[in-house]
Amino acid sequence: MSSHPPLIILCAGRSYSSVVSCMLGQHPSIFAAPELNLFQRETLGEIHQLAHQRGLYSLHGLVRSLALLHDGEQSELAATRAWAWIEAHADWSTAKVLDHLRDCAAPAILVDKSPTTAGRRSHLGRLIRAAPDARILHLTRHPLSVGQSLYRVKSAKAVLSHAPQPFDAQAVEEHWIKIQYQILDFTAHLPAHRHLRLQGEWLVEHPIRYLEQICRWLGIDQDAEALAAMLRPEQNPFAHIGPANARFGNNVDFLKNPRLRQGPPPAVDLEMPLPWFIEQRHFSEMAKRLARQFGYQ
Amino acid sequence: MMQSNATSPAHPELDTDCANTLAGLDLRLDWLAAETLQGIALPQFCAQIGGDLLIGGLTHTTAGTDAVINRVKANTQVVEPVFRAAVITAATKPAAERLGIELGFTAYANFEQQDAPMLAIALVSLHESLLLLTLDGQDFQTLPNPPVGSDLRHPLGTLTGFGDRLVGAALGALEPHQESAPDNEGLVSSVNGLERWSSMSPRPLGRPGSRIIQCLAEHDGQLLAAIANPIRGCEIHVAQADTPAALGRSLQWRCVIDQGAHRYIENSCVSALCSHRGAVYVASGGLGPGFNQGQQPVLAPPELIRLDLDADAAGWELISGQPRFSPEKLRVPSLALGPGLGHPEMAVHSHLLSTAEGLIVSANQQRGANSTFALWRLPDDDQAAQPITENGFGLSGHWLSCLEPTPLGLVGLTRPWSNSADSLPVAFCINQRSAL
Repeated sequence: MSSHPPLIILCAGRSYSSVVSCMLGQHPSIFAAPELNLFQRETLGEIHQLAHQRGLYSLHGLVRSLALLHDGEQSELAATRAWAWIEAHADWSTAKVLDHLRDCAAPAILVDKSPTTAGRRSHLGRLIRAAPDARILHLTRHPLSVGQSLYRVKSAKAVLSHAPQPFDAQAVEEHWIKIQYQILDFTAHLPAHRHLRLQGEWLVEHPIRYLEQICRWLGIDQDAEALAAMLRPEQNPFAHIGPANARFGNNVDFLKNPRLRQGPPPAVDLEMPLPWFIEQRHFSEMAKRLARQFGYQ
Repeated sequence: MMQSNATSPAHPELDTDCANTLAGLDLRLDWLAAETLQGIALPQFCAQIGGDLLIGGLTHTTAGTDAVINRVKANTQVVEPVFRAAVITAATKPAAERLGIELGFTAYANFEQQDAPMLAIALVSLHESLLLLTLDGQDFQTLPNPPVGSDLRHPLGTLTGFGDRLVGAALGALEPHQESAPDNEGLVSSVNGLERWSSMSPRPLGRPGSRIIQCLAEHDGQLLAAIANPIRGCEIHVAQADTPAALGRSLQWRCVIDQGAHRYIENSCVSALCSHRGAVYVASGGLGPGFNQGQQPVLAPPELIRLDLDADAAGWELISGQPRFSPEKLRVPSLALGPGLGHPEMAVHSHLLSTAEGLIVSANQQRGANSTFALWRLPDDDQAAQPITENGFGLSGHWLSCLEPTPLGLVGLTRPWSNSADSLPVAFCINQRSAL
């Protein structure tokens, strides 16, 4: 494998991954794919089958990436060809698909930010087998902000669907803890220089400072022009709603309003009551300890 | 040189790799005679005074546990017990079991008192915690512990010499707690023949969430205090005493690193602090001195950081550890080694020692019967870490509890993880081969 090692962003959902990925993708030496969701199964056929069960939108990121890499555009026709390519290569392992994307993106570095990757240990296992040379960026966000964001989205969905479902408040914290521990366990077995952790809040507040450091880590240009381009995530080809047959691939809210909301992080605290509980509840000691490990208070 | 006892079953034959490594570094290893540790089951310190070596530790008796000090005469290699005191008796055993921590010798420091070299040793006991003082390693003056922070007489957890003072900080607990205020008891220093003590900090040192002062060191006229902070990550505070008179009152402290230098609570503790060749080296990680009975520490392999206190704004460099983003720059280890000097299975850098040949760094694993320890030498050019041993010289199941430069050489004392009666501590000595 001759291409540059891929960069995999691991995070819980609602952790700035869409904006960060689109910012990175503006660097001339980076191809930042939308969510590829490759590592949930062994073969592309199985991934396709899973998408049929859970919603084809989970393959939109892969389709849009293939369209752009194969045909140089994200037209409906190019996306149709990409869907056909997926069906024609159902027997390919997802590792082989990743290699194909790396080759197509080369000499640029392939970036993937699928939140599903950190969702299960088996997914992380597939990731490392598929890309044993991968660099990992562990992107974090204050768990209170993650929970608030998730709560907002779920509440809005419930209202829009006119079929409100009970919001599993307890699951917010449990899910965040599970994802973070899985990422920590995974990265603990990697060489130290291959994984770095970054508070998303830092990047949003001081983007140039941390984009420069990320580029330095990846060994790519840190010149002013490249960094300036990275401040314009809205110009990324995956920062907008895609063609009718592959509309998504990144966070929908971001796709509708793709911009960097630069500024200081919201004033949140681990000791605050959790707004997604009706009764007054606080983070567990386990969640607080984990958050402190990432520098949150 | 001490008698070696290569026939003892506790002393393994060095394998070819280890022998070659030592030869390549111009080093020689001698196992010290078992008598060196006679009567000591759990070695806790070794120190030098008057050209001799003192080894202290605990021994179990039918009644309880005693603290014992042996003196090893450097010239005759004769070993003699010079101090013994009960730490736990039958009456206090239940209380000790409830406490669940190891008592005994917690700290020692060489310093000069009225131009005479003196050794101070802190002893923590369920009976009477004391400060032992000796000029010759033979006779010990005992003092009650000084009042630290309040009128209570706290046992001391760390000591250092600073000018002609002895500076100490109280032993304490590491558990995080909700209160935001610092919770260490500050520092005290001795004044005039150790008869009087004064506070060296106007209030408990540290940022919100900080707990005990784990390590103290002197560097170029400055006093450094390393503080555990299980909420935000460890901190290093520095004070300058420009005049002798300044030593008699509280010093002005400034924080030179905090938030575990941005590894947060994965660097909640400082396990060792050492002044070496114009800089200060900090061993940090999830483990360090202090009581930790409750919450499990964050188990993160240790890092090595170098502080430059001469810079206009104090700076620091990562020597080995986890690369990270920081407000200043991308921090990558200068030795290009990850945590544990490239050995993430290591739990703690237990010792840092300044020697003429470079900085000596030790590390202990914490995996019981299969664990081991490692020693490296870091020459001053920052080019590479030279492993002295990465398998505890073949001593499987042992950890390094003491390491001290002495007139005999660099003396190390190990302790077995196993509590079985046939698992005994071991003493070794390392010297420059060409110097012999």
